[in-house]
Formats: sequence, C-alpha cells, structure tokens
Amino acid sequence: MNSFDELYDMYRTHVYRFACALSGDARDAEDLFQETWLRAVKAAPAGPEGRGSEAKAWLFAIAANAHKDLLRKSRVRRLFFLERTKSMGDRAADADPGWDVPGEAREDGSSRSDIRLCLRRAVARLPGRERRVFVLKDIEGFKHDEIGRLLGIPEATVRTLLHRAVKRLRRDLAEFRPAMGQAPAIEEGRP
Amino acid sequence: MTTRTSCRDVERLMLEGEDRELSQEERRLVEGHLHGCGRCRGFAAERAVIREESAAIPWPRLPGEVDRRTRRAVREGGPAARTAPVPAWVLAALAVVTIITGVWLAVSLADVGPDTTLADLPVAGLAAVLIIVQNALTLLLAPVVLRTVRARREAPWGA
Repeated sequence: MNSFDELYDMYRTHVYRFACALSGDARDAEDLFQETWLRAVKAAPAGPEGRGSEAKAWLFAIAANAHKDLLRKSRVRRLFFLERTKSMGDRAADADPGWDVPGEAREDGSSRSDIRLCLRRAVARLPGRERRVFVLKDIEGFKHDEIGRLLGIPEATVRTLLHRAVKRLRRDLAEFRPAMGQAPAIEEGRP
Repeated sequence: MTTRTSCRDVERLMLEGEDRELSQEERRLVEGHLHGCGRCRGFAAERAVIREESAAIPWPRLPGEVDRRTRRAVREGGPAARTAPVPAWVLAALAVVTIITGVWLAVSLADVGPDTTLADLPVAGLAAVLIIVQNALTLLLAPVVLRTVRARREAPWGA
C-alpha cells in the first residue's frame, strides 16, 4: 500500500461528501469524485507533501477547481447542444438527487427534515462561487482564511460570498420561517 | 441609508463572529443594533438554523462500485489510464485523405509556371477551392467532434 492509497482511504468519504454537497446530484458527484482523485494523483503521484488537515485542504482545493471546470464544461456542452440531459446544477435542484441516504427516511418526519431537504436543494441552486464557499464553511467547517487560501481568493471575498449565499438561502427557506421561530414579516431584498 | 449600511455591516460582523472572537466594541455594536432591529434579529436566528441544519444534512455513502473504480484508476496511474488512443480507423481515414489531397495537388499544380494564373488552370482552381473548403470544415467541425468524443468518454462510469 503506497502513500496515495493511505490518503485515499483516509479522505475518500470526506471528498465524496464534499462532491455531493457541491454537485447535489449523484451522477455529478461521482464524476467530481473521480476527477478529483485523478487530478490529485496526477499532481502528486507520491502523495501531497503535507499530512492531516493540509492534505485534506489540498484535496478540497483540487475538488473545488474540478467543480469549477465541470460547471464550465457543462455550460460549453449546452452551448454546443451536446448535452441532452439537464446541466449540473439544474439536475441538482431537482427533487430527487438520485441517491439514497441511510437514515434519511427515518428522520423525525417533521419540519426539520423538510428544512434539510429544502436547504440541500437551495445550496445546489447557489451560484458556483457562493456554493463552494458556503459548503466549505458550513458543511466542511473550514475557517474564512482557510477557505481563502484553498480557493485562492481574498478573505474579504470569502466573507462577501458567504454573506450573499446566506441571504439567498434565507430567501429560499422563507416558507420555513415559522418553523425556524421567525416572524414571517422579515423584510428581504435590502442590502 | 445609514440603517441599511449598518444592517449589512452588522450581518457581516455576525458572520465574522463565527470565525473569530469579536472585539468588545464590535460586540457592543452588534448587540446594540440587534436590540433595535427585528430584521437583523431574524438574520441571526435564521443564520443559526442554517448553520445547524447544514451540518446535520445526511449525505449518501460512497457507492462501492465508484470506490473500486476510482481506486483502480488511481493505482493505474490516473490520467494516463483515461487517455484512450485515437481509433485506428480515424488515423487510417486521415492518412487516406492526406495522400489523396497530396496527389491531387501535385497533379493539379504540375503545370503551374511563373506566368500562370488560376483562371488558366481549372483543375488547380478546383484544388484550391477544395483545400479552402476542407480547411474551413476542419476548423468548424473538429472542436465539435472532439467535444462529443470527450463528453462520451467523460460520462460517469457505468453510465
């Protein structure tokens, strides 16, 4: 077993969850997962220099770049009418992401599971940059400065993108305001 | 206008507060603003729910088949394993077209001299038109053909 095998065993579930969160669709998630590992092995056949969180950040940076490229490719294919099916992102916003999550059906069946379902779809509808920042922050738990380094953008931009993403998500989750303990009359759309 | 700017600043400060401890002055600013602003209180409450629920979203397990294929591809050298060779029939067709074009041009242009114009040589004129059309078609269609092939090749495994 070489170091890349160890790296794969250690982070495959993390990378797959990240791919699912970014793509919101089983088929695209598998594609992104595969692409990430192939790019990783191409970039460093003997494995990354760092270990632990550094290696994880390195893999996530590759995944984020691959996601960006796949979105771009998807747009090009649609432009040339080469993709009959819905694009990445469009599929993601569909009701059925194409995967079964163990335990999801056993959720409490209340508004909480509805909120999570709606939230997952709303995340998949976010613009690419906002989606990457939001997923890295709220789902993967990275800090602003780490996200900035990982995506190669200034920390201030990370905060701006996260702020925009949260505002969009609030709009998409407006129907759940009573369940979230909020008065329904919160005015949106103001800066 | 001041209120709008203040609301946005306070929202951003609240987001920053998730990452670092706010200074005493910043905390006072946020708390003071929240006390009198229902909209920002709504933001804070909903942000908390979004954070909590995002972290609790259940995600699927990595399918065994995808796991096995990815591991195999990574072991086989990744990108090299994905680079499929150009089909032999494409290479053969290209060779035939190149030879025919070369012969055609050689025959057509054999009688061309310093004083010859294209109008004097209808065959050469045809050859020139043929070359122009061929190049135009190649330039137009090659990217589309390449993208089609790549799109098929990059389809998810097992699809």
